[in-house]
Amino acid sequence: MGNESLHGLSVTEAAARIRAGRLSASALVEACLRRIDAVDSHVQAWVTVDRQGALEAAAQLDAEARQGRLRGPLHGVPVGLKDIFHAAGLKTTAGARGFADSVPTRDAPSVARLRAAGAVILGKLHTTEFALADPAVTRNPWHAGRTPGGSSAGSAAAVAARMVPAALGSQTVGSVLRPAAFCGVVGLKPTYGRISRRGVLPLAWSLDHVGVLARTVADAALLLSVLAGHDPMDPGSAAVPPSDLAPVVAAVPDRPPRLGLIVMDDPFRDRAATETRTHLDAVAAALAARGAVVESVRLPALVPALVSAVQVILRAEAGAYHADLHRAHAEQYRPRIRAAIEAGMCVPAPLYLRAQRIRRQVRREMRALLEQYDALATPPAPGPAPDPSTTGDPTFNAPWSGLGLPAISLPTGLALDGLPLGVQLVGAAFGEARLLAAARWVEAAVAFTAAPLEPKEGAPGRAS
Amino acid sequence: MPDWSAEALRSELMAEAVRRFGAERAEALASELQALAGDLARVAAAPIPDETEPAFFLLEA
Repeated sequence: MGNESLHGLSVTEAAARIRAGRLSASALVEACLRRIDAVDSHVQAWVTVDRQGALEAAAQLDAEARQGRLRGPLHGVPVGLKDIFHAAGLKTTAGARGFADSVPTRDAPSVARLRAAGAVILGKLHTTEFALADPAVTRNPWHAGRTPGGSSAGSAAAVAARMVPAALGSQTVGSVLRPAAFCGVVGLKPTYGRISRRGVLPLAWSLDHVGVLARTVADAALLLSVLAGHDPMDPGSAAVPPSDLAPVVAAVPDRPPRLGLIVMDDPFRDRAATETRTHLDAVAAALAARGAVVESVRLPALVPALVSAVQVILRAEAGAYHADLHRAHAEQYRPRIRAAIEAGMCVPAPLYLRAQRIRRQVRREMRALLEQYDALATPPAPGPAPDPSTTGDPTFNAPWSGLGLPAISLPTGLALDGLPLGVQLVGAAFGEARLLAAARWVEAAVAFTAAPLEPKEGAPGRAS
Repeated sequence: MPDWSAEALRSELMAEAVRRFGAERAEALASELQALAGDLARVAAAPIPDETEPAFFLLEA
């Protein structure tokens, strides 16, 4: 393989070549940097490209590899960071146009885990302002006239456009799985508490999850195996042993999964486009034909209230977190985050607490259902990526963020307009090994291989 | 027992927004507060067993 196509390698492919001495970290980083130079003026995924830092890190990793020392399973693999993660020496902007910038002196624990496993931090990726809903500058690599989603807009777009094999994102409601779906890549949000949130700017403490964007399920599993672990300094971190993800990384499982196909009741009924429903039914039929058990399941009656509870909690906690910054900079916030913060400051305390009680009640009611299936299946979004005035509707992701359950979105086909469609799979709490095994089987059965068209001058993808 | 209908909550939110941010800004927030009132009303109407505690952190398996 020549240098020009190295940027398209998956995490697992690249790591295997570097381990075998058939690829250097420097060559891979240089290939990604060339790719960024070629297409990012169109996609606008990157806030900061740490060219010098990445090349120096790669050279150091190559020197260590020549001495037979490999730091870990990501030795030499470039990774991007949503620009709410702290990385030592790199400015964190949170998409906030200069009024909240800082240059951290320490890595977030998640970033430190990546470096300890041998990853090269390539730079920081655009987010919506403070990870809420005001669209980022990033364009969807499949179509310049469509949103890449949000809030992890740059992370999803950079991975889709083959500028970096994987990136970190975060999800409070739907900010990893929705952009993954809109950009035709894999998005994984593990169980609440699996990955430390320390060193990641909060949006809503009790809902914030660190997540991963990659191009294959195996890549997402490998990243999670590196990132997962208890952080005693993060009060939301769970002291639960990590899942054994090595089998999922290594091979497609032989056993077809048991899937619960969620019936499109409220709050999904009026949101899913006809094309989305038809696509999910077709995918389910194809999986059943290959041996998967697919059964229709209904969610607890409280789920519509849960979706409302997530919106209440998001606003109340964002209002609390931003109170001081808002007092000094109210006029500098973009409109949607400002309105959410201000509305959140007005939420009555008894109803905030009732919203938190709904989460626990629905999680109890879901437990038996989740034990019966390897994964529950829904669309990851109402349809393909909408126009860029919005980042899309997160309702299909909101229940799983509210319940803290692991969820993964993977591309499964193209809509009539040529944009990606996908499926969202949801597992039991701390059941990532089971969920990802099901996802890897589904990925292999569907065999989705499409990629965005090469961006052209002034018009990435299918720009009109 | 407070009135937790969507309309009553919208009025309550608007009054609180006026108190905090002034009438002009509260008016600019009207559509956000209306949507929030709808979410709050659904939360208020949801039947929850008395023994269910809040889930600030969902750390149990």
